[in-house]
Amino acid sequence: MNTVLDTSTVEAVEDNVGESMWSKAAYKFRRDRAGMIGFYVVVFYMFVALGVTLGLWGTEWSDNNGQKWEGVSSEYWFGTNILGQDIFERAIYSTKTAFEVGLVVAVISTIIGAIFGALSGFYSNSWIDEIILWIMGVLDSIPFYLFVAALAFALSGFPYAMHVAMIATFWTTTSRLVRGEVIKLKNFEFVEAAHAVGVPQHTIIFRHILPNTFHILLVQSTIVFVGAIKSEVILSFLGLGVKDGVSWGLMIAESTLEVQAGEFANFYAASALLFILVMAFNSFSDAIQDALDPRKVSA
Amino acid sequence: MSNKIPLLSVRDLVVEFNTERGLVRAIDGISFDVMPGETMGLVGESGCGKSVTSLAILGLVPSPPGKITAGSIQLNGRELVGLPESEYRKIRGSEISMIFQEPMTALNPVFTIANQMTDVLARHQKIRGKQAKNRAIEMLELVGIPSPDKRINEYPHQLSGGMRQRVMIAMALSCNPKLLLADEPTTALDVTIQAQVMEQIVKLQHDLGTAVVLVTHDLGVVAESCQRAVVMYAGRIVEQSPIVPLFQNPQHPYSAGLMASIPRIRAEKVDELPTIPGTVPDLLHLPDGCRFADRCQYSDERCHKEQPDNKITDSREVACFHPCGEAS
Repeated sequence: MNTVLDTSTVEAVEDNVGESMWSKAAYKFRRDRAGMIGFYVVVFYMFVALGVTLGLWGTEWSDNNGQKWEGVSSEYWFGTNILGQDIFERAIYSTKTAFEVGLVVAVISTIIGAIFGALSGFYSNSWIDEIILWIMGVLDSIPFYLFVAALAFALSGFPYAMHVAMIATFWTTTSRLVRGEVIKLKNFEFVEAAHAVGVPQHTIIFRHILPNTFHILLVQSTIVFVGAIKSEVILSFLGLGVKDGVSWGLMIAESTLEVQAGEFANFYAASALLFILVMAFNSFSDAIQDALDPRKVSA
Repeated sequence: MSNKIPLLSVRDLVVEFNTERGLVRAIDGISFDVMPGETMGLVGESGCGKSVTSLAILGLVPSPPGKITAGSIQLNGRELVGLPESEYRKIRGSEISMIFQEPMTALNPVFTIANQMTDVLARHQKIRGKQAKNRAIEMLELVGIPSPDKRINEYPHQLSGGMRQRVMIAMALSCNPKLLLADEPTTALDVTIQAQVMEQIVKLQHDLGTAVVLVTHDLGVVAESCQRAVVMYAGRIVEQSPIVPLFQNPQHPYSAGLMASIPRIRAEKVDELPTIPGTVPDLLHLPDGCRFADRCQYSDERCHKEQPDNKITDSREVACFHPCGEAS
């Protein structure tokens, strides 16, 4: 009997012991040059935003220190705007605004999307699924800017009306993606195996199935992050966005008067900073997506 | 049968599925016993209700559309049908365990082996932390995984199919269940690994005294490792017998057909392997009489009109009007 059990016939794969999906993904990510550049740019922006939050720089964004429309100088790196405010300070401060909006919206909408997506996927074709799909359908069918305007009005004065509106519309995409993945995953035998060892249903959904959709959540949250920053600019430009503080969108809105007078500094500064961040974040999220693609990782 | 008290006793079990095309009786009044420490084979071709039977024992018949509509399942005298979900959960994994067919997908890809094994131990045996991990390593060693202390920290994709199935067995046995349901545990493995895994199951069963229900369509595996076998056809039990007489002298024509179609080295060369003509009847349109009648060479008018009852002689049970060995 023991000869059959001789374990030496089981092949010994010792080369990749201890190497997880994540370490492989990290290795792939590090080899993606565009992704790494994007990553460093994003980290730099984050550092700037953190400094603003801690009050290290960007503190003079609302002071009218200079003359109207001063040129580029050692004192005012990007010049001044129509009110004599330092454009550089304002642009830097806006980084914080952008990150705040991006993070809040990305994190909360991903969590909501994950929970509802997992529930509707696991109970697909039941009444729970029907209700969640119906809610998503309704939210998706309202024009975004109309929805924000309506919410801003309904929540009159609430400074986070914009955040709420974005979260309410952005979670549906995440939820749909998660739902599809969960429908696929719930038929895998490990789910049945979990049932068979007596794991309760809610534990199966949230501890056994949901972690398997983590790569989707990560990628989707970076996409939502960029989407939120862009939407914030547009909403602020329309006067529906940031109420206290300054943002790139508000700067661009201000610059409409200045551009007519031939002063482009405000407009350029805000657009360039926004453009660089969005580009960097996109290449970063592309790289994550490639690195986490299970078909490529497990190969 | 012997005088011992059965560990698992299934009586007149009926499982129905409500499909779009109508009510399907996947299992129609089956009864069998499993003695403590025994290995019983559950044999039949695809779609005859083998897997549904094992799911029914675990209380995992997908509902809806499935439902146990009649009969009883008793484990150590305790009725399982109609048990509340929370009670059933305590039984699953601790008293009844299951091994699945597909080792590739039966482990959760994002957690390590240690994580998944200690989870089961924490749930049923209230062992946690270091102690649970040591117990898990012990179990892995028992199923013949080399350097289990290293392997335990790996993810399922780093193990081969045979190793994953061993991990599944280790996990299933880690809480000392009284009954192990093995649903085609070796079908997805290649032949050499199949032999190792089966040997492992048989050995552990000896050591731990676990009763095993081996669901399979591989008669070779049944002949090697089971003491008794139940042959199912279209949701019914057609024959139930200890293994040696079943293989030497199958009584139901269907069992006889199955035995004849095993590829083996024969004294004289045959041009074609004997097969059973026809296919399993559609469960939606079952014949009135014996379900095997259309494919049976011995069937007569009575077979097409009446359903034969299970006749018990000695330790064997057969549902046929013309058992082989008598009529032929």
